[in-house]
Amino acid sequence: MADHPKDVTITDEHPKTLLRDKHVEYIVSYSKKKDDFEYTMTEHIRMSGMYWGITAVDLLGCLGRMDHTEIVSFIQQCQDKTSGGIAPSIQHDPHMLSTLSAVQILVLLDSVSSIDVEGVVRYVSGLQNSDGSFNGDKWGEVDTRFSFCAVACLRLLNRLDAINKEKSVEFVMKCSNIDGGFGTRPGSETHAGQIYCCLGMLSILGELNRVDFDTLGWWLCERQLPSGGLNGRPEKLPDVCYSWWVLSSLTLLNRLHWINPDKMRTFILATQDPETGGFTDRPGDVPDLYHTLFGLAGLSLLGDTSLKRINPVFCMPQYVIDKLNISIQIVGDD
Amino acid sequence: MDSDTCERIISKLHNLVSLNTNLGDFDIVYASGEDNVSPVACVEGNISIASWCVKHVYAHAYHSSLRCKQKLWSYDECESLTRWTQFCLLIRPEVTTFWNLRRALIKKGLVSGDQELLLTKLILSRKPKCIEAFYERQWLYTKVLATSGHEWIRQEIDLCTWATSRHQNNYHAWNHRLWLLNKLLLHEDRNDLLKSEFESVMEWAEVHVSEHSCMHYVNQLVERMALSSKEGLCSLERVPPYVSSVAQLYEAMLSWNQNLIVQYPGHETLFYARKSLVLKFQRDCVDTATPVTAREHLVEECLVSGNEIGTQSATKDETNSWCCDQPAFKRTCVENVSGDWASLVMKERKFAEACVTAATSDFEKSVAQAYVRTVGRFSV
Repeated sequence: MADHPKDVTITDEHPKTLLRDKHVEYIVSYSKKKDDFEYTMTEHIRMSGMYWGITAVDLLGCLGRMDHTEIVSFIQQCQDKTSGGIAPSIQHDPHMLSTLSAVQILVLLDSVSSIDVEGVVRYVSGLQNSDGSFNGDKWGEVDTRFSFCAVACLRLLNRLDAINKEKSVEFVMKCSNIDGGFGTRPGSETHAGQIYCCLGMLSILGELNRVDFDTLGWWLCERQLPSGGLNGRPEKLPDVCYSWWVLSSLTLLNRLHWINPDKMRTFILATQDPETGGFTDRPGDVPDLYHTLFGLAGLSLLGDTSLKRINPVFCMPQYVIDKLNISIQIVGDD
Repeated sequence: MDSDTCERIISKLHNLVSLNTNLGDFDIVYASGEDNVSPVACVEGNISIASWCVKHVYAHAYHSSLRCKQKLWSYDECESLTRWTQFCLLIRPEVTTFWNLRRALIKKGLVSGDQELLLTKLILSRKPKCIEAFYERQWLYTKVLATSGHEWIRQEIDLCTWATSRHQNNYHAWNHRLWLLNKLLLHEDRNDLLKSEFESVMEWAEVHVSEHSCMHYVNQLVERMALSSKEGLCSLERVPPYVSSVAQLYEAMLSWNQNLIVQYPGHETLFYARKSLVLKFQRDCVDTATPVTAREHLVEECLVSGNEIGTQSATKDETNSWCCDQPAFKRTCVENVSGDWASLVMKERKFAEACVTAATSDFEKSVAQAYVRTVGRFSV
């Protein structure tokens, strides 16, 4: 294949097999570090960090290694009594992103009843605007990410009745572009992360038929570069997190076979850190929890049977979603 | 490091930021701290902080801010809180809670909107794609600052140009510019504003042909100009490229795009922009628009097996006519297509194939081949 100026090279030095034990150790030890500077620097994404870690560990079949009681108690302390929303950490302000992460963790640990569920429903539904869009918090930033967070959160809590579903869909469709993709707001550039959010939200609401499957599927599979990795927009470098945003979107469109799965797998495996464990954005970089979850989730979508199966909308193990009897829409299934 | 030292460093930084009306960049510079010099420096309006102290001072400012947040603040504490949150956000602008504290201080009148504009600009000098800083500015312009004239729009557009020049494909900076474009189109001087915006963004685009975010914005600008003219809000004759119909506007853009493709082969962005223009032309200007059809078998054939369709059919003659007599080719490509979708698709096919033949490297060829496949999906 031609030399691509915005791609990476995978060599024999990069890992070729899944380093399961290394990843479990990486995640478990990360969750135990509490005193160092790094912990302060990342406290504003603590709730999402916990969700990434705990989901990844569960996919690896080692959920028992995490301290469930401590996690649930932390989430309880992060819920804001007045608004009902959940903050990313103690003393921080509630936000839509951390509220979804907290609900995902609690569902995974079968502990939803340990928080004020009605408070969460009140918080999330209260952030919907009259045009159907959602704010991230009380300060009013609008983004299609928050539309996904709201709908996913309320579906997990079985309380979709609390929002105007039709308007939510209407707003998300206003954010679609002529290339078939979606951006953060009406007119914004198409971005693979936003596509995942919008498709996920439409799938939960059973409205995927509004999307042009082929045009969007085509744009998505053009994200694969010669190395096998995926970028999130044209002319960007590949990043392992897109192995989740793009692959899950293609799965919902029933077009996962439009990419080359072997090359994709090779790329994801090459982003493992063979010394510390964990996955990085690109081969050779520094690992973090975020890329670790999305690397594993991508492998699971590609059918790696040594990992638990992942749900392409909620990014949670499928058995958890099955227990709640939640079904999602996939193109061609109905 | 004791808290007095931390406070001194925070105050010094705060004073530099407040006293300087002509601020440049802010950044953390590497220093071990072994030499006995102040960790905060200012050279020609550019402010730096030495890496060795960041860890300690950040932790101090971070925990002090959070402690202060838990109670009702006295006036003195507000002043400290202003300095602490400023320090934290300069180092870590992703912390939403600190932006929220700033907004509360602004609403109480303890921090001015102009002061906040300075802080966000300093943050953008270090992190030009910082979404939080852009959103803070939108919040300021919507809720705090008076936005009666259009000077602020021009200034803000300049800020976007500055931020986009500092980070490739800067999604949030272009998104911020789109937010401004929406304001601009509502303004009574919109013809003048559109003229200068069109000229400035086209000039920038011509020297950044790999900037997909920029080309997306260009196409949004064109689409909005088309829509505004339909609604009678702007007059296409009075703004560049000075045309008299929406179809001519798209034709002018296709021609501009084609010149760039010929001049700078091997840039995916230009072909993506072209695809959008063609599809928008079809949507807005073709009477009997045919939707892009599903041709799944074709898609699978060319993507899974790596079989490149259509690449063999460009004849020597067509290639030569394109290379040697480019303006003529361009005319036939775009001038006769109004309302005639089939002929546009035919011309696009020829153009795409000519690009493949003209390619001088494998990479250029693969980019052009991708466009051949794209055109292959346009239904006729």
